[in-house]
Amino acid sequence: MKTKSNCRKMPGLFFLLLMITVSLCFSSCSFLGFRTSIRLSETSIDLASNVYLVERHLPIVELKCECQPLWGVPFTLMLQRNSEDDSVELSEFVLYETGRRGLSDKRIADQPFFLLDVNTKAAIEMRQKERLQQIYPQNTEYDHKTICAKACAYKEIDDGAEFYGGDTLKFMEGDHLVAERDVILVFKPKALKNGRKYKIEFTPRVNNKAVPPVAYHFRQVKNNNAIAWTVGLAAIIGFLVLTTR
Amino acid sequence: MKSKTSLRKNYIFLFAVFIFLTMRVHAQNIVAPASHWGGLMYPNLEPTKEIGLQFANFTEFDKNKEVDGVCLTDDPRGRYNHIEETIGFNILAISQTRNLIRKDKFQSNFLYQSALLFGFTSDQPTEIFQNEVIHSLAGLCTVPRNKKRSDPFLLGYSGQLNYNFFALDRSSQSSIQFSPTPIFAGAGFSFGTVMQELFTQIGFHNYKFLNFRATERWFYFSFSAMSRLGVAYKGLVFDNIANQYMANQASIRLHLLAYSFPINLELAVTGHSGVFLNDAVSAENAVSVNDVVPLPEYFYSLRLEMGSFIFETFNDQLGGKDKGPTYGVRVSYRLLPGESLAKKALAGLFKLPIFRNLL
Repeated sequence: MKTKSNCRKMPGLFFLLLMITVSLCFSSCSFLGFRTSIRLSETSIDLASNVYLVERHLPIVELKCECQPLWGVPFTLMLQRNSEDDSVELSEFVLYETGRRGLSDKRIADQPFFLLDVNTKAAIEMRQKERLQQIYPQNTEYDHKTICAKACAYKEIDDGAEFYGGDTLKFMEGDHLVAERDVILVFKPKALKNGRKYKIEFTPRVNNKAVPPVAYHFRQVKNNNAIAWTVGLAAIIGFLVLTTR
Repeated sequence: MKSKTSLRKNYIFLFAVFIFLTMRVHAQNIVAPASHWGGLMYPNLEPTKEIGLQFANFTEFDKNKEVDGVCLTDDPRGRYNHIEETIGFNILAISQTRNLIRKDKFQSNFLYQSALLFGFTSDQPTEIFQNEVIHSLAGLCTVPRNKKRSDPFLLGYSGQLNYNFFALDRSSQSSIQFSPTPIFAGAGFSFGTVMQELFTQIGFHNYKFLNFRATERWFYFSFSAMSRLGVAYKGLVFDNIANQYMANQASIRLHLLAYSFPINLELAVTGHSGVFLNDAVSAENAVSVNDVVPLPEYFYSLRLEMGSFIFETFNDQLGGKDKGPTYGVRVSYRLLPGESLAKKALAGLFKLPIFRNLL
């Protein structure tokens, strides 16, 4: 016998209206600068949203980790400009090896960083003459503007681009960085040693003024696929055995 | 023999789709079938790409009766509803969450999560896993099968738009901080061969509690809860379902070794008003039209995140049954932004000795 659906009445419309009202209210409040009462702990801010609004007129610059911060060490850089006139430079990406027993932090020179993703146009101004010479050997006059124009064009950031500590990352004209949550780029240092502790530090310059450096400590830990699969499947089987009655 | 060949073809097809899609697209479905089987429904609030396999089982019957410690054969404790077949879903899910391009503040914090589903229905491997592994280990009677559904191809697409609320706050150094809150609200849709859906949702994800400075390096807890209200419409697989549903989910997550070797273990409970109806086909079980109502479902779920892997399983034991949408398993691999599985696979391939020698 074919039966026909006749569902139990649910307060669907009421719920829907309530959700729309709440959403609109929150959106408006957020738009007007409303502060929600939920305060994240200091640790969560350190770990997940290390954001500093340095001065009222300066952009927000953030260095944060991806969802799984310590696996593969990708860093997401987030940035907000308060006006289109703000200029932002990110330079001095410096990597240190830390946690050396009885020794101070060791600066790792010329550490290449590997860009994984970028959401806006940006360019790297390469300040190291030697490397510019490698790229443009025919250029004998290293006029800054010429070099920058060429170097920037050459190194316009795309997925997979590399840059080095000491390079400056400039955001080009027309970039739109006013959104609250722009993920600008995701990068990670190359060739880290498993199990070692590191610190990454960078000093942004905003409107040609230095702002306090932002640092992040991390430890390089590699995925162990065999362990993950063993534990994962054991967890699935164990849970189903325990909950199947 | 014929069915084995067909099954092999299906797996080959899935593998081909997997290789093709991983060239660019990146995974995890957020709606049917997993969301009606007790799978975690929380949206990603970070840009993420995942690729994963999902298995879900819809069984026509409950497990066999047990008399004096002996399991009867083909004598189930009862049937679920009018659906006269057992369905095993084998799905490859590929999903991506990204921030939308934003032009002003009002549009910010919007994340769009999309998922593509490819697969087929077959009672294997879900039957073996249910009867030969889980029920065997737990010492339970097997779940009998009569007719088994076999669709060569399942296809689906789902999308959801979520708004993640942010807050301005001050740190202990009195600098102003701009922090994401755990609160989200959103809406989404899904269409495909299983069923069609539209839904709205609201909730919070990973609100920390029992979080002490002295111990957070080793462990802390977070709490999540969400509510989803949806309208559903039939698909090729399920042709008579409830036209609306509400699902509520709450979970507690244990974060281990967050600073050194992060492992997350999440335990969830889900209450679902049900998308399947209590109608029955046989004359003796027939329900009058006015009495046809959705069958409410209750699930336990477990999720384990280790490295780039996510393992998840869900079971209807909370509802005290073993039939209908009974259990599911998901295994996903999370890709970093900019990564693609094809690139990783190729990189791994060229590291093999045979290729190194060739090169």
